Amino acid sequence: MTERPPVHATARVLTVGTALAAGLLTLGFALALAGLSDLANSVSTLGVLVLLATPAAGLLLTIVELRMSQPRVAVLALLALAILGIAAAVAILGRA
Amino acid sequence: MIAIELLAFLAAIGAGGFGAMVGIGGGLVLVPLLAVGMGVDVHAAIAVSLLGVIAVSTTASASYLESGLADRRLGLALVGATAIGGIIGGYTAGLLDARVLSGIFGVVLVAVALQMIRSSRSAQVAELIDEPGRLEFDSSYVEPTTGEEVAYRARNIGIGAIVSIFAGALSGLLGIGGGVVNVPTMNVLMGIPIRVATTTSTYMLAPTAVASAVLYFSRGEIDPLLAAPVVVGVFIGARLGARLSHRLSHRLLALLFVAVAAFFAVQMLLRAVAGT
Repeated sequence: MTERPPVHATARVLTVGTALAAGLLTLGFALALAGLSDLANSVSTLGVLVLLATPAAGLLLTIVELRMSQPRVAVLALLALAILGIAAAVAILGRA
Repeated sequence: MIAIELLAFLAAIGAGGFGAMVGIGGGLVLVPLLAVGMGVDVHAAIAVSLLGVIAVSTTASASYLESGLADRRLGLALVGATAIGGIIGGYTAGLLDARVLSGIFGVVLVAVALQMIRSSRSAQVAELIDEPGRLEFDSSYVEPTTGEEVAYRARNIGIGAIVSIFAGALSGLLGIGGGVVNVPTMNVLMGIPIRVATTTSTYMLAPTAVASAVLYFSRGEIDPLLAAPVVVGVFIGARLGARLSHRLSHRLLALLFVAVAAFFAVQMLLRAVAGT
């Protein structure tokens, strides 16, 4: 059997991040149904931000996990993370 | 407003479930359902659909990484390209009005439906090898149905990366996963077994969708009160769909998708022409 590189930390951060985002968005949905629109908007926005940050956190953990065993693959993850950084920069500059 | 949120929630469950059963993701059904069925602005529908893509992809990726079914090395080699495409698609969507986006969506729906009809008749392609060598993109996975280790070799990485930019752009422009381009590219062009192509594509979807979703967010096109029911609904629907998919004939589902896609394609093209 081929030896596999570590994935546990990446998988865990993806699971926790999605669960947190889903929890916040579910709470936001429930608050909206209860008629608390302002609070629902704030909680849901936080949920959206957590959701957007989760894949980036996954890439960051991938870099940490693979930096010793597979440094070239870690560089690929770093490049992908850098491109997400560029996307965020384009978004911020476009807003200004 | 509450009625719209409840309707969006139900629509997202349906779209997420149907997408998971057919294997094309929920966006292709969700966006027209929100835009045509509920009168949501196309840009807003695309934006929340991208959030649904991120939620489903992230959850599934964790499981695929743990099981070794997703090829992380290959996914990371291509995800930079799809993310660049995602930026291009997300940026371009901001320049196009709703009519043009509706028209493009209608054309893509027709193309995906035709591809689905064709793929049900063609054989899967993969370059299998005896065991993974020292080459950078040799790898293997354990086939869950047989328990056997299957070794394969990825080819045409450069061409695959170029096509991945297109897949990412399509995802960012239309709020769909991009798997409709990624999976056949990896399977046919790069020789990756279909199971690894599907799971690796899923792994790539979330970072790709984030690259474009941040642009929609910055333009104020993500309505948090719409995003909440849609993401939660897609999440629930995808889980239900994954369970139900084993009980239903894939051929029947594919035919059903073709019928639904044809209906929404006509509706989206009519919106493009009439501007309603």
